[in-house]
Formats: sequence, C-alpha cells, structure tokens
Amino acid sequence: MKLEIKDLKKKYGKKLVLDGISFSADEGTCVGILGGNGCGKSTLLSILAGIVRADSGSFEVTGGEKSCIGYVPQGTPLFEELSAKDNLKLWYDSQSLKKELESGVLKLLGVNEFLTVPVRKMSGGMKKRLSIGCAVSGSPKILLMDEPTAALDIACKENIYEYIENFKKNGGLILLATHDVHEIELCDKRYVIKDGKLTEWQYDGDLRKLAQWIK
Amino acid sequence: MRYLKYFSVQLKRTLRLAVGVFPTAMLLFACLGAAAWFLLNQGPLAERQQKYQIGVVGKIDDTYLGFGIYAIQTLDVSRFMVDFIPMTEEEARQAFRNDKIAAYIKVPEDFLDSLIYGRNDVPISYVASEGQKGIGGYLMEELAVVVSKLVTSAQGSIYSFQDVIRDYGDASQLGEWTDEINLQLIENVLARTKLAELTELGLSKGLLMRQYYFCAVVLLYCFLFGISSASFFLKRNEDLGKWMKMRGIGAAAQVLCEYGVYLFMMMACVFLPLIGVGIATKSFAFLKTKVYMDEILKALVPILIMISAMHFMIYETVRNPVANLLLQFLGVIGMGYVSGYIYPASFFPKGIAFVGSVLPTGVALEGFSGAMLDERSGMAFGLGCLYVTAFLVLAVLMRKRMIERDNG
Repeated sequence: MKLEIKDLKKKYGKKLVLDGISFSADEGTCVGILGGNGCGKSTLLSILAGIVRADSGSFEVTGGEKSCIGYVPQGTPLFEELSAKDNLKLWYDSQSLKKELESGVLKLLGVNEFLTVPVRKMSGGMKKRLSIGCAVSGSPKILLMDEPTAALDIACKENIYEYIENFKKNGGLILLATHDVHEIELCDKRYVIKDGKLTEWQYDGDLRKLAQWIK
Repeated sequence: MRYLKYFSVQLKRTLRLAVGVFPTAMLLFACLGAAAWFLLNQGPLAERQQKYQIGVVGKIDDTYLGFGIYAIQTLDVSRFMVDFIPMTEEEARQAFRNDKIAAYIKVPEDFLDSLIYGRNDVPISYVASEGQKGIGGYLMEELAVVVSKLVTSAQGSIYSFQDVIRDYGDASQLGEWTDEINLQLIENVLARTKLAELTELGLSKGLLMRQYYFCAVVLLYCFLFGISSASFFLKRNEDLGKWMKMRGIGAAAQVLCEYGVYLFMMMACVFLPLIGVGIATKSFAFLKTKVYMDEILKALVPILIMISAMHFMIYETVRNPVANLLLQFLGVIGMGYVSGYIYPASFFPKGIAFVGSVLPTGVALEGFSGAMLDERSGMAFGLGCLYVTAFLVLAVLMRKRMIERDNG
C-alpha cells in the first residue's frame, strides 16, 4: 500500500497555504510533517482526511482505499457530556468494541481504565487516548495524526509513542504533523512546509537547524 | 444507520444536558408567567378597574354647581369611572403634582351666570399633564364640543320656551316650568347611555386582552428559550464536526440531526409547563376561548419548528457566547416590541406594524393568535416555512464553513 500525493494546492482568501505539495509514503513508515505555526500542516492533513477540498491536485492510495484513512485532529473531537464508552459506541459495533477492549487497540491505549468516566471529567491524556481509540475504529491502514501529544504529560506521551510504533510494525502508514522532538525521532521521513512548499529534511539530531530553517 | 446512530448519541447528550436546561427554562417560564399575571391583574392594564380622580375647582357652595356635581356623582354612569373631588386651586395643583388626581377642572366664578344668561363667554378650563394629551386629550376636546352643543341646544330650547309662554301663556308660572324643562333636559343627558351601545371587539384582531398577552408571553418564552438552552450549543466541540465530516456525516446531516434533537428538547420544555398550567386552570379557562388545550399545543408545533431553527442559525453564526446571548436577548426583545408583544402592533405606524408582522416574532404571533380564534393564517404558515428553510440553509452553510476553516 502506498500513499501518493500530487501537486496539492490550497488557498484561503489570498493566502496560498499549500503550493504544489507532492510526495509519497509507503506502508510501515511514519512520515513527519514539520513547520511553523499556521504553515499548512493541519490543512494538508484535513485535505487527506477528506474534510477540506483542495483547489487542485490529487492524492491516491495505491493498493488500498481512501476509506482506510483514520484521522486524529489537533483537539479532542468527543462528546463532553457522554462517557468514554458512549463515545466509542458511535464508532464501534458492540462486538468489535468488546474485542478491542479485551485485546485490541483500545486495551493498548488503556481506555479500559476510564470507560465509564464522562469526557468532561477526563484529563487531557485520557481524552487524547480516547480520541485515537475512536479514530482507529474500522482498522485504518493510514493514520493522520495532528500533534497527538501536544500538552500531554510524559506518561501519556509514552503511551501514544508505543501505539505509533505498534501501528508501524503492523504495516500501517502514519502521517504525523508535529513539533515534538521525540515524535520527530519516531519518523522515518521528515518534510517541512514553508511558504506553502514542501521540502524533505534530513534529521541529524540537531533541531536548531530546523528552527533556523523555519524562521 | 450512521445518521441514526449520530441522532441517538445527540439525544443521549441532550438528556444529560436537560438536567441543567430544564430548571433554567422553568425559572424563565415562572418569571414571565408572574409578569403576565401582574400585568393583567395588578398593573397598568388593570387600570380600568380603578377610578380616575378629577379635581373640581370653583364655587362649590353654589347651588347649581353643587347640584351638578352631586347629580353626576350619584346618577350618571360616569360615576363608575370618575371621581370628582371638590378642592381649591392650590389643593388641586398640589394633588396634581403628587399624582393624586389625573387632572382638574377649573370652573370660573361667572361661569354659571354666563351659562344661565346665555352669554357663554366664560369657559371652564381643563388642566392635565402633557402625558394626558394623547387619546385622553382628544377625548376631552370631543367631550367639550359635545357638552357645549348640548348646553347651547338646551339654552335655545329654554329661551324659545320662555318666549312662547310670554307671548301665549301664563308668565306667572314661568320659573316653575323653566325648572321643569331643566330637569327634563338633565334627565335626558343622564340617560344618554341608552342612545348608544359600546361593544368591545378585543385588543387586537378580535383577541381579548388576556388572550393577546397569553399569546405574547408564551411566544416570548419560546424565543427566550434559546438563552436557557445555551449549554446545548456552546458546549459543542468544533473538532467533532470535522471528524464527523470525515466519517461521512456532512454539515447538512449534522445540522439536521442536532436540530431534530434540539426541537425535541424545546418542545418538551414548552409543552410540559403549558400542560401543567392547562391542567391547573381547567384547560386555560381563564382565557375565555372556545379552543381546547390540545389545539393550543398543536398550534405551537409549527411555531416551535421555526423558532428552534432560528436559535440554531444564531448559534451557528455567532459563536462567541457573550455576543450570542446579547444578540438573542436584544433581538428578541426588539423584534417582540415591534411585533406587538409588549404593546399591540396596532399602536404603531402602519410601516412599523407591517415590518413587525413579517418578522419571525410577528409570524409566530399571527399563527398562535389565529389558533386562539380558530382561524388559521395561510400567510403566516407560508412565511414560517420560508423562515425555517432560510434558517436551516444558513445554519448548514455556517457549519460547512466551520468544518473547512483553516487550522494552520
């Protein structure tokens, strides 16, 4: 399975956010999308998730379908008044929910620990884990993650890193929009968006070079 | 199936929120209900049950004037509405300033002589505040014209009668007969109410005052319910909308599912207290309408569909909570005022009354008051349908815009 993106362009008003983005990624890899705030990382992921329409260009999933894409947005897209279980029920049928909680991805994310807690009473980490749990319903082969560990404590971050490693090992493809050093290290390929253009960046352990480049 | 699941999750969410929304809505209902009760039973609209106090300044010890006031106070029908209080001019001014009397009549010393001798050159003066210059002022002017015509006609008849007696009859009994004709004329004046009958068609469109204000207060509650239900809208998660779109539940489906659930909650919060009041008052017996409770509730269904669509559109358009709640409150009060929720729309100039009637508040009042009289308005129904469509289309467009908004 391969994700191929060809010449994607997107304008918001007069601002050209994405200017001919093209790249490809193979299964079993994690691709990092880096860049300054407001550079277009989330827009790129939104287009791939089918939420926003690109002005021109296209993307294809060879050896798979576009419906096999899962998306974890920046925030926590959950019903605050409902419990974790009620939120999960929207995406999983009762049989697969039981299975995932016993031995699947929901167990790996530790969702069992707060299944009956209303979302409004959850910590940021719990919400993020639940969001990922909801996003991966239907076993997507491609996962788009928008700053998944932003503002989380170390324990929660470790939990999510472990999940990412696992997803990769099982042949999944992850596109990760991030600012986090550890997440950058998890990636096999890294791209930087600046002024709407995408450039591949070779990471050598020195983040200061990236900071200077982004500036 | 996917939409049904989303609808059921929204329903579940609403039931959780109802714990907070319902008591707030009931508080609003109770406040508006109490205001309406005071308005109809204790406030300015109940003034008809009070008497106007009018001061009379002049030589009260004069036989004719004293007799005139006595006759009006004891024999005339105006005794149920007006109290004439004899006083000096200083006392009248003081009482007028202290709002103890509505106005005072100043009868000059020579007035009766001028009247008796047919000169009519000493007018009585009516002193009222500027506020009385409205309908009261016009009525007073009209009254003065009618009274002066009555007086001059009476004078004419007396003088003619006296001339005839002097020329052809026994002039020694002239005084006695003059008194008799005077009494006859007074009797005719006092019996004037038999000449005309006043039928009150109602405050507006044939509605009784209590029916009219019942409609206005119920609708005001429905419109202001948007503020009570703020938590339904303000606690929504924007990311959730984006995620739903990705999972195949687009802006239109999201809005329709959420709107359906909101309408359900609004109906519950409007119907439950109304049914309670209906049961407590034997199917709204106090309204004196021939329409039954179930018909009143049925008439509210299309109105609630329109109002809930309006709330939905406002919450989709203005996402800042403070701006939103302010807009709703001021908008509803402003539109309600123009549409006649506070004063009947017939009090306003034609142009304003027309604008008020085509606003959502006016359409709702037209529809609901029509149901109260068992007369359905096709125009109001058509306008209501247009509003529902426009509000929902706008809400979908705003949701679409929110979903596709740039997050960087």
